[in-house]
Amino acid sequence: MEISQHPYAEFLRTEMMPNIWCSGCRIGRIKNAFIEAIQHLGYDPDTCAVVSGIGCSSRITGYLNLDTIHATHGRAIPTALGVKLANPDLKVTVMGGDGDILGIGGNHFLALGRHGHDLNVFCMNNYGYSMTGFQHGPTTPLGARTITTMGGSPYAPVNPVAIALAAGYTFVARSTSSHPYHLMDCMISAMKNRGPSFVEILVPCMLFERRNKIKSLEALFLNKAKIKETLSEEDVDQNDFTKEISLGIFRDTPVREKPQLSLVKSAKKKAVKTYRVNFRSRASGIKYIQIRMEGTGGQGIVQGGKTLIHAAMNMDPKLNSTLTKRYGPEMKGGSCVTDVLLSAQPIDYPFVEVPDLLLMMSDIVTKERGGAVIINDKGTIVADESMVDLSLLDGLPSTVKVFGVPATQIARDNFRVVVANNVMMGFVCKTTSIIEKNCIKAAILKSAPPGTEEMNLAAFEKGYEFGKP
Amino acid sequence: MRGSHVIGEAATRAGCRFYAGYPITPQNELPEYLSKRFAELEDATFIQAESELAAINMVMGASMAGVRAMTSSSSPGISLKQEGISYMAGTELPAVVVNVMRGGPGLGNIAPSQQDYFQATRGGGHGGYRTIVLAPHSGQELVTLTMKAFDLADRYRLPVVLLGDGLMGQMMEPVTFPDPIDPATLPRKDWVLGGAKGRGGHLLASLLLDPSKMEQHNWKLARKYAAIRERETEHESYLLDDAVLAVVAFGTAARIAKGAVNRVRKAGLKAGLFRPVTLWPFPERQLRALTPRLKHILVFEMNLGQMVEDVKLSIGEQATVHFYGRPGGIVSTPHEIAEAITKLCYRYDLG
Ligand code: SF4
Repeated sequence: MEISQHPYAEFLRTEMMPNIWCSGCRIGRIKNAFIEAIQHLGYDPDTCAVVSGIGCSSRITGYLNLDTIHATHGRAIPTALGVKLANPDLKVTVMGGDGDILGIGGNHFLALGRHGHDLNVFCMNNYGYSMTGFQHGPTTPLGARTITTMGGSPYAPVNPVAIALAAGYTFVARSTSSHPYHLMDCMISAMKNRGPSFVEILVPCMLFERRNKIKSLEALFLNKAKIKETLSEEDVDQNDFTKEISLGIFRDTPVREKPQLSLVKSAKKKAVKTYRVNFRSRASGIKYIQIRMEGTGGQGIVQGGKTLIHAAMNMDPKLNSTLTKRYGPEMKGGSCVTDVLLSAQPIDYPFVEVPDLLLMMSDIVTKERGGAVIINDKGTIVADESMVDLSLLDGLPSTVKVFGVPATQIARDNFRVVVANNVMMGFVCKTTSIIEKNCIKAAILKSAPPGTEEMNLAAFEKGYEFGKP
Repeated sequence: MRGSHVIGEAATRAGCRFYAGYPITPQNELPEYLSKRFAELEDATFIQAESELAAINMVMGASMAGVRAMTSSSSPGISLKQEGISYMAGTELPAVVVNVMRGGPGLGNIAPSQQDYFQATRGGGHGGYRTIVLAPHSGQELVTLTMKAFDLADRYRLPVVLLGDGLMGQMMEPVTFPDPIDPATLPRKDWVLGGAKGRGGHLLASLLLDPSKMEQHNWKLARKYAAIRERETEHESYLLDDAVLAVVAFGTAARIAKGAVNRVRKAGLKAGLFRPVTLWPFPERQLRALTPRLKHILVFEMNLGQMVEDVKLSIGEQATVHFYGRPGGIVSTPHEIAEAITKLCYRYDLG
């Protein structure tokens, strides 16, 4: 017979024939069952894509005349998911072997169950890595001989159906290549299911037969397998061809109700009072200012830096600015430094070398440095009196201006400790007048979590009251 | 706007509608931004994958379906993605891969570094392929180069790497964005998986068992790479016209070097900066053109000397190449580089 007369010629890349499978391999039958299933469902081939990884079973994509992808070993599922998410109209099926899907790709196999996307995973289980000469794989039976377990495999095999059930697949079935009609039925039901579907397909490999002196696995399958209408928990375990195999559909549940993919719309926030602060932007005349805010993790040091930079941008959008932050090894409770640079020229180096303005929320950084305070000779230091040992600031050149404000104390007494950084902002605003008040208030509003606007602004005002113009 | 957010916004405006990633510092702000940004769009997908491998393969799938797709990670994560990048290079699939470099080798640290230059410019994975590598040095350039990366990826059908570092990612600078591109208006890709009706199915694969076919394919790729070399190099010359010494640096290092050049100029030393914007293709010809007028070149990198090899290949014996660099995440100050320039100028009596 000419290959063009093949009953499925329309669905095959006949130019790729003959296929590379051993004569007598049953994978071709699985391919045929798939074609029949598509025809039965009346699917337009135009809407079907098949993705495979690497291995004997994965060669199916090379012969199917659909849009197919021969992907990376083990990664057929994520690749297929990429296709599906980018083009949800396609019906996407993953075909691969036990090594590809359960071995190297096991993590993706688990994750798909959890993600819950509409993909079909048809896993051909031939008990090992056949394409490379038959090494043992995740499903190799205990005691079976493979070229890497010549004395018999010492490893307990995994049960693919049990894993799929546990992972949350909405459709789970087991069939064999020796039961083509049952297989086709399973595939049809799997493709109808709108969640992640999994079909384990037992398939005899001749290399496995030869190594283990099994005359015909197919005969064993036909002999030991029972197709069951209803399956119990026990049937999950019955997958050993030396004893008994239960075939059928273990689960077929509608896809769970859940938000679609990533298109989760954020829940509408309750209409809270909206706050507004008007400010005017202008040329600030700032040439180059280095500001450092330092303290202990959790004191809002980074937030303070952000407030400063947003405020500066509010005031003069033409300014160049950078913000960089450094933490000690621990995020909370360790030392924390935020550097803000404001400059009329593009900034070449984003860290503060010598600060013009140093805001000390605590003295942990200075103490880590051995007590040395780095500050421009004509610079300004504002220290949180409630947290900083002020004797550290003795001995600075008299040209350095030093101010103290009990920011943390004020925050604790009037609001909550967390707004101490905004008390500091208020004080700094009035004392240094680098940035205009309303510009800072608008910046505070921008980052204040909903519901805390009032408290943050009040903290700022309190600090402002303390300020020394 | 913070650098990593700028990349996210620029990608969105470039028509990127698919992002897959996996958590790793210091690039977490980018997926964080995109997860919010993409939720506002009807046609965009953000997915946090189960691993770096999954992420790059999801991007591969999305790219095959014809969507502009992106992933991002930091050095160790990029190593994990190399297999997928090689497959995409072999299958000729466009995608944008952002590497926010950190200190290495191994797990290293999360400080800014340029230690992945070799990995990025030599392909990175197996099989002798190339990816275009773009090295932004400012917030505004994050916008232009991110958008350009998508165009180049589509034009040449290959992965494009955007190579930055943690500093680039967390720096906040004012930027302006161009109008967003509507993905529907992008040129149709005739090779994507979009249904096989009325035509043969598309098989997207990088497996070519027949060595002669594999050779043909490699020659085809080589011709493509040659065309990219010919057309797509980009660099910036800064104060080079009257310079007696050129500093060569990219990315964050170039920014620091610019500061150093400004400083030494104030002191009367005529230094300039040559900044490769494309690291592959490397602007060889443009750099060579500076020589032999310039006798001395100082390469500055945040590693122990990687790009310096490309500089030497470009200029051969035409000038002496010096190197200054620090590995492991220490960021040199402009002052340090200015000192290095000054020393060279005195040692070689460069006026
Ligand atoms: S090695 Fe086994 S699975 Fe592979 S083609 Fe041959 S019989 Fe089939």
